[in-house]
Amino acid sequence: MFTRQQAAQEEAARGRSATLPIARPAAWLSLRGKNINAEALLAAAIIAASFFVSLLWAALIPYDQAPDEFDHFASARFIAEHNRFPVFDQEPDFIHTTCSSPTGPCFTSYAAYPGLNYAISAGFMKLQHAFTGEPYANLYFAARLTSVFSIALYVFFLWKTAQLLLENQLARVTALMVGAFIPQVTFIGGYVNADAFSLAASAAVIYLSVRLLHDGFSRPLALYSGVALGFLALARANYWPLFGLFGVAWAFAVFRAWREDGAARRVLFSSVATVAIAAAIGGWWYIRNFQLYGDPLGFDTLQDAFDAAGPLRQSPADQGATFTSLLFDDPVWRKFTFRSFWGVFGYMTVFLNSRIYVLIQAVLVVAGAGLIIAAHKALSEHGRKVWQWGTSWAWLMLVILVPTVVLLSVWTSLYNDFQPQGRYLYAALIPVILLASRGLHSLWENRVYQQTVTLFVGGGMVLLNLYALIFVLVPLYYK
Amino acid sequence: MKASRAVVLLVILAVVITAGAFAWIMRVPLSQTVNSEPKQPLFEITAGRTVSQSLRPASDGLRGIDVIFGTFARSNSATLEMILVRPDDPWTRLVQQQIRTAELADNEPYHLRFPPIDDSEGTEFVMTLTSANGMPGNAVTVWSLPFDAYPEGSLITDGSRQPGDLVFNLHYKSRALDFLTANPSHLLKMRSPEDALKLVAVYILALASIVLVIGIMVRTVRRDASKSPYDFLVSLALAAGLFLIVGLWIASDRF
Repeated sequence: MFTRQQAAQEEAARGRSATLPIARPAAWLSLRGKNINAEALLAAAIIAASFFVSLLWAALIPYDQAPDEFDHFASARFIAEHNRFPVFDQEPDFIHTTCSSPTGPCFTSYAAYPGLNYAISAGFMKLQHAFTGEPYANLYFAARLTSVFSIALYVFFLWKTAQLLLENQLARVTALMVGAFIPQVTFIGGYVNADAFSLAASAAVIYLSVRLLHDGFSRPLALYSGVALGFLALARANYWPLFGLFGVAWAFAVFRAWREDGAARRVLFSSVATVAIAAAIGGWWYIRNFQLYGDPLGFDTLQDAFDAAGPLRQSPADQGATFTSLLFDDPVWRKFTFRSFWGVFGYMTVFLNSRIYVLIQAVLVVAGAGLIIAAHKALSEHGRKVWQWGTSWAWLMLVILVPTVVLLSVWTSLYNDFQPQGRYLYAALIPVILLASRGLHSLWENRVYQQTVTLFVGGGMVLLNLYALIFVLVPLYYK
Repeated sequence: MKASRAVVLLVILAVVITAGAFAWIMRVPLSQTVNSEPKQPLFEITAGRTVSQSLRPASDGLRGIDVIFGTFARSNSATLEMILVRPDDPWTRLVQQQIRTAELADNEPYHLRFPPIDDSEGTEFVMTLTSANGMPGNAVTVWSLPFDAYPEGSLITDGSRQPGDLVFNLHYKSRALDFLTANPSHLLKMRSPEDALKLVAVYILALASIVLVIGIMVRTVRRDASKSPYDFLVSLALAAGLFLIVGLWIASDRF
């Protein structure tokens, strides 16, 4: 793998490299071209393919044939038309929870939730409106572009994270292929929602957290982290466990920096800068919410609206459901959540062939066995020494993140709204992909096995993506 | 036999088998879905009550219908009967099936499968659900849409035509390779010429980028095996074999 350090060494050795881009651009390009290895080329192709495939799905999925697209699009449209964010339940020409609204349908809007993704969609809508003059009500494809770009960003950060954690090149390729072409990921890249934006922000935070654990603390990392955390603050709440991951990584890096070179003051200054940048990017929304509703997070505002619209509504917890009953006794939550993690479309009513989910389960079981073998091997070879390495902590944090995110989703289904949907677990998508790839490639070091895994699992996910498009979605909407 | 010849034969065999598997997988059945929001459950299907849906299939080879039943989150023991007839010949039951409501999952699609009806395209059928022993508290219901989501047919309850439709899926016998060519043409017919061209462009970009990805992935794997060139061929054959087995297994599911 061609690393940043190698590049710096080569440039230092060349001496005059700094002047090359200006003096001899062709030579510089040629030099850079030689340095691009096959893996970088593959990553670039996969990022491009994930973008174009999401774009194709965005072009093919009819409007509002995906969860709550009407609500999401309404927010983007309002911003495009009024150049400001809507106020929850207070706009005469916007969605209201109750039917006291003079116009419009009666649903709960997303106006109390962070709206940066809708603002970006509104920007694309304005651009198309400026060129074509089409009314905003028709510009759902432009609004979907935020999701399309977000998927490409998520794939980029997946690749960067895989480079840090997976030493085996084929394992990295498998992870990248799987992560980029999961049909559900492409689906959320194909309609207006907040999930795709949140996924991209979470992918950036995961990458930076792993960088912190892997490389330790640095000033540029503090700057990037501030930006990524700011965007994560404007993501959906089900991605917020990643603040915890980042916090642990930060504490680990700070402790290491303090112990190694006693740089407490520098670290403290950079930490303050990170928080300040994050607050500047993401904090304004919560101040606005506090001013408007006296409720920074907006949760209570929505809850009150739900209660007003349906005073007799009961959560599953009110009806006696518990964490264990939902997770172990009721197969619906487990089944729907798992299936919609990989591929359920429309308003969560369009499924893949049921055996495909069984196959994915089987692959994950094999990967789990591989992970146990890898963990046992690492501990038996190196003992407690493994905890001196940042990557071990990174893996541990990723493992912990998976049940944390599952429990958060169960909690939401129990006490708020029964929503067994896999996309609510997507804060753990990158951990699941990396762990699965690591597990599959740790099972057997045989070269033929390693290559077969990449061809079958990585290639299989591409085929599954094409199958979902050509044999499920297109016949559903265009037959 | 030399190892190199064996590997070449293995690869040829894998390619042939994979091509066969691909053709087989492409026989995934066509389906037609009538589903939307908001949907609502009808009444309990008790003795003396009937729920019918008239259908006009869009393709030949109608071979299954999915209906979403509601069990009221309880265990029922009544029996349902489903019959499928042509309205012009109501005494000839093309399909007659007994469904034990105890086996139905709440709010989940139930697949009624029957031998393919060859000349089903454009022909009107009526599917009727009744229960001879259903009683209040021991009967199921079906989910419906309160608006006309299926202009080709209607919901009929207790003999009266209703404004809505049942929530259902129609499954057809697969049409093998012509399925693949039929879909894009249907798709393009539904777009304006300008939109269709844009769509074709995005299609080509997406598929070309996927081909590029697969090409580079295979190249990366091949380079990884550079120390032993046969490793790559064996891996390729193994992956193809796995695709074949998995493809056949998935395609043989009753969908």
